[in-house]
Parts: sequence; C-alpha cells; structure tokens
Amino acid sequence: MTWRDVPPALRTLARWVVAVQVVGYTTSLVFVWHTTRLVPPGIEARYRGTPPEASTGAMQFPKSFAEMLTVTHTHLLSMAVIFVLTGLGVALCARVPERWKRWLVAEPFGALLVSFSAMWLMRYADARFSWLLEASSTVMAATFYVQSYLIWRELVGP
Amino acid sequence: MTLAPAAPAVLCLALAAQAPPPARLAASLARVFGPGARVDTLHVDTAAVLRVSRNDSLLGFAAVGNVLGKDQPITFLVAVGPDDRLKDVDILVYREPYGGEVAYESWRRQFRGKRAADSLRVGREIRGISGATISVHAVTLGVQRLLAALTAWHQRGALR
Repeated sequence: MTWRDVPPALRTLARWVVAVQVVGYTTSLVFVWHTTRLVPPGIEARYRGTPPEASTGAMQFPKSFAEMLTVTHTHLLSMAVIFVLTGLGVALCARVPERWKRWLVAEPFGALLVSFSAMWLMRYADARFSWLLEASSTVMAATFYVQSYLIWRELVGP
Repeated sequence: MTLAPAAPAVLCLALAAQAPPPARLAASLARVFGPGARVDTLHVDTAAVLRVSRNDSLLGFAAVGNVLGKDQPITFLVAVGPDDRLKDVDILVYREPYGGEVAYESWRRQFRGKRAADSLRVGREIRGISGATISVHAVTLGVQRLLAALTAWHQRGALR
C-alpha cells in the first residue's frame, strides 16, 4: 500500500498534519535555541545550572529530579506520537527504497532513547554527555525534516 | 508563647484559603527570627499578621501570602524587622511542577533589606530565573504587595 492508494480526503489530512508538525517542530527548535543557543555549554547550563555570581542575567539552577521526570515523560510520549505519524507517512511512500524506509522509521525512536538517556547522564553523571545529547538531537531533527520532505513530495507530486 | 508551642497562633493563620502546614511555617519563622521566639497573631483588617518577639523585645512581623503561579497558588512568607526593612522571604508551599527555584536562597536573598518604597522590578533590581519566569514575577509582585501592607499597618500603628 502506498499514498497513491489512499483516499483523497486522507491525503489532504496527511498534508495538513505534515505542515503543522513542521511548524511545531521548528518552533520547538527556536525555543531550544532561545534557552540553550543549541550548543552543549548552553544545554549544560540549562540542566546543571550556573553559579548565581557567574552572570548578571537570569539565574540558572540545576533542574530538580521532579522537573527532569516531567521533561522526560512529556517529551518521550509526545515525540513518540509525532514519529509514529511521520513513520506511517514514510512507510506509505512509493519512491523511497525499502531499506531507507526502515532506517528512517526506526532512527527517531532510537534517537529519542539516546537523547533522553544522555540528558539524565549529563545532569547527574558527567556534563560532557551534553555532546551526545546535541549529536543525537541533531540527527533526530534532521531525520524529522527528511521524513516530512519525503511525505510531502509524495503527497503533492504527480 | 515560644515557637515550639506556637500552634494556636500558627493554626489561626493556617485557616486561610491556601495555608502552609503549621510545622513548615514555624520552621520558617525560626529560621528567619531565630529559635525560641514568641509568636502572637494579630488581626489587621481581614489579614493575620504574626508578631515575633523575644524577652519583650520586638523582632519583627511576618505575614503569609498567596500568589497564582502558572496554575497553582504559591504560598510564601514575608518577614520584616521593626524598621520596616524586609528580613527575608520564604516559599512555604510550592505546588507547580516547574519553577520551584524561587525557593532557593540565592534568589530570595535579593529581597533582604528592601523597603516598601524600593523598586522591585524583575530584570532590574530582582534577577529572573531561567525556567521559572512566571513564578519569579508572581512572587516578586506578591512580596511587593505584602511588604507594602505590613509597612502601612506598622506605620499607622495597627502593628505594635
């Protein structure tokens, strides 16, 4: 089964879902840029805090255990739903080789587990895990945009 | 009445809409004013104010307030000295999942020594906290109002 076999109304729904998800994901990246500048030192400061006297701007304190749990469960569950939708979309693409499909469908779920494991390790074990979090999140974001492009190409193309 | 057997005074205050646990309030007063102080409850307008003294020497006044955070009330204490300068702020109950950093000492100490006439603006005199913006604004505003009320009551002789 491919997108060609899907009824027009469901293809319209899929187009809107892709468009809204791209806007939403991009907005979340802008938020992360705003809070961490998308660099490991910024991520470390966000989660491990900085000494109050180190700057004159807003204070940054270490995230509490409860906050870590909240961030983890809300992101894991909501992002899993996003990647279920994009994964279904990719699975229906006729022009993507089967091997690539499988990789594109699976990669974000693996990246989610690696990213949030890295976040906990960075907070409680070693600040350098921020580099793993940065790398994993970058690959996850890239995969999301590739997935969205492939689905969009399939839905608006001939 | 000393802080340890101050339950009646503390309980009076605890009957307010969003009251802190009496033990938490007693611990906060002991931290700010020192252990063994006498605590009496005064009723001014519709509010309850705690008068804290030791050996007939007035240490100051304290009151409990509530402000709305993102969704939940934040219960806090404002303590002032006899000179109407703010001695300390304490967060008695924080109910939200995010923003509990307003209870940290390094943020709260910015308020010490302030008077009702002093400006307390977030980002100027009071530093914000990354990830706790709503709570920072709410508590700062609440402290400002309670400090102004305590000062006004003291200056008009309602607290003595």
